[in-house]
Amino acid sequence: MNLYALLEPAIVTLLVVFGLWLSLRKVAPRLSMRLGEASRKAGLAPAIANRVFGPPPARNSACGTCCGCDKGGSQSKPMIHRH
Amino acid sequence: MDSTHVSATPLSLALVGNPNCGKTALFNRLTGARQKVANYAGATVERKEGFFVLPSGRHVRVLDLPGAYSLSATSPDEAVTRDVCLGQHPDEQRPDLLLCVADATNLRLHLRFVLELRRLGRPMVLALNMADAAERRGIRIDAKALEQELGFPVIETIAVRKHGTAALLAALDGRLPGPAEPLPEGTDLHAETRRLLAAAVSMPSPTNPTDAAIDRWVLHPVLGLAILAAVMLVVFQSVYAWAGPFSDGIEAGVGALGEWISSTLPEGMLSSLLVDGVIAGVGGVLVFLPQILILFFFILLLEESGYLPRAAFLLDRFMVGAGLSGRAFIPMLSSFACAIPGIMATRSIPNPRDRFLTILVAPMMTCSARLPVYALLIGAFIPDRMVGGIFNLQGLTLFGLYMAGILGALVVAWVARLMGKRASDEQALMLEIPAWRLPNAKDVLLGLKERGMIFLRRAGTLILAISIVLWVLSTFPTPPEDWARPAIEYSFAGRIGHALAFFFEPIGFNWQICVALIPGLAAREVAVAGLASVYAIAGADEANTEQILATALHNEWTLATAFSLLAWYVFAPQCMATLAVVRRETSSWRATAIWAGLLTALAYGAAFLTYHLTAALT
Repeated sequence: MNLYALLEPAIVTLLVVFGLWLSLRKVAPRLSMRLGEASRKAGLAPAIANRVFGPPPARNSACGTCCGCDKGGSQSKPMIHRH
Repeated sequence: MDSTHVSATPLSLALVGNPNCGKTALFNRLTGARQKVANYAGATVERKEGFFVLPSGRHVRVLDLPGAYSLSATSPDEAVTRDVCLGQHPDEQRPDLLLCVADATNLRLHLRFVLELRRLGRPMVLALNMADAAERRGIRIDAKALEQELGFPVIETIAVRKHGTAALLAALDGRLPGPAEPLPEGTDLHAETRRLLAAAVSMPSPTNPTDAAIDRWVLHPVLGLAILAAVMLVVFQSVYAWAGPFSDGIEAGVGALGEWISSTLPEGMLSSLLVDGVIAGVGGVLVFLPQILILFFFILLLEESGYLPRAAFLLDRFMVGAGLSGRAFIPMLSSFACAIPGIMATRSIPNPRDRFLTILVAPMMTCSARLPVYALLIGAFIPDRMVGGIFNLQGLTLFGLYMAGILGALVVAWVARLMGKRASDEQALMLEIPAWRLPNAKDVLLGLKERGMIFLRRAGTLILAISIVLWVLSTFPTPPEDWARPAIEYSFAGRIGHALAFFFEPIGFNWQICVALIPGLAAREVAVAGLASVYAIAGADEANTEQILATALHNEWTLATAFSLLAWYVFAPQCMATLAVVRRETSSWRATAIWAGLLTALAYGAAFLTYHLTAALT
């Protein structure tokens, strides 16, 4: 069996897992955040949980997940005006 | 840009003024943000926050508030402005300084609100924006005299120019003004405005003669409608006339990439995933980028020039006749880009019933995500030929689909009016007609870049992800050796499609369409990626996936099926993001369910009629 035949299932699995993860984050952000919350409670390191499921939303951040706030979501980075 | 020294408690100022005076342009200029700027009232419906650092190092937090004509709010967006100015907003501290923005070309209207704000007795600065336009029209404003009369700094600004805010920045960097001296009780604000104008402003003519001449044609009740129809026709014709070479280029690139991967990798799972899943799915949607950019180019030009409020004025009688509030125009207009900002823009409608009706019909306006679906089906079924020597049939069909959405919305509103009581406090359209303005090339390019990036980001994330998931569903489980039919029919996707076909068969949808409808719930254009993936996997021996899709549609679908799918997408229930926004804006699951149910029933009914009528006629 050549190297390609050995690697192919692993690459396909990686791509599929990536696709599933991206779908979760993009199509079901609420579910993703709840999974993140559950995984943090279950003891997963917050840095890893944040990276995988997204950081926990700030209250009133207009993240669109709880439908409970009215705050505008856009914030600019500071602009420096010079002389 | 250096963001390391930003203070935790910066000076807080709020941009406040009448709609369409350039607050957002000033906000963008001060903060470096890229919020949407448009030449019509009501572009901002919620407050936006930004930060900047003055030359001295002083940190400033700035709020861009929705435009308001007075502090007596009649709509939810005006209430935000009122509450922040009065220090009554639950999540917002009272700003240290009110930066009032007034359109220097229209001080007769804008100064009245400035005087109302002065009554609050807060520290204020007045920015006379669009000072260049005022000068061009021969309006002479003695800023020093006005400053003396008002008792707080008055500064001329040109928010769309790079150095147009230098004087404002210098004023903010100096000693800030104390609280403005409130006007005596009972002062007539209109009389006070007239007095200020007499003291500090000389106006040669209330209206620019060129603007008046153009408006005589554009706002004419008959000719104006003809001009509007002609403008829309030109836009849709251009979408087809100009996009061809660019789309062909992208299609060739995508096809070449697919062929290269097919010839480089041995036949197997990885090659199938990349070619039939990723490239067919993402590439199938990417080819529509030029059409979307051309459409937005025209929308941005119309927005910037000031034509859109005039179109609102022309169409108002039809909208009111159909039972919609006059204020429904801006939400419906915004929905041509995406239903989400359109639904959010309904905050300017005070009556809850009118607001829900607008939320119901605004998504019937054709959003940009529907364009790939339309373009694919039109390309496959409508011949590319000229009609009457000047019109392209494909462009005419696209125009017809956009019109079908508009007419459908008016009919639904009209039926709703027949079924329900009209609100007693009906709101007429009070829309400020802005001056004609030459579109700013930078704003148009920024807008185009933003739309292009949104599309590409979706292609690189959402569409990519769903294409991979669809490939898995369409490939597994693999059929047994004695399976005689196409392998995809044995897969999860094939089984889901066949199960759903029971419901969709009466409207002519085959199981492949049913499979594509599911990812289409995430975003409409993903349905195209879904169809591309399903047909690519079914015909995996072909190299060019783009050809597979066009040929498959042409060979396997009847004209009735194609028209039925088009009718479905004119009214189809929205993507999930829209559903979430409807829930947020209505604060009711019941209203959201009614909204989704009505649109589904409407889409199904329209597709059913279209399918059977077309089948009977062909």
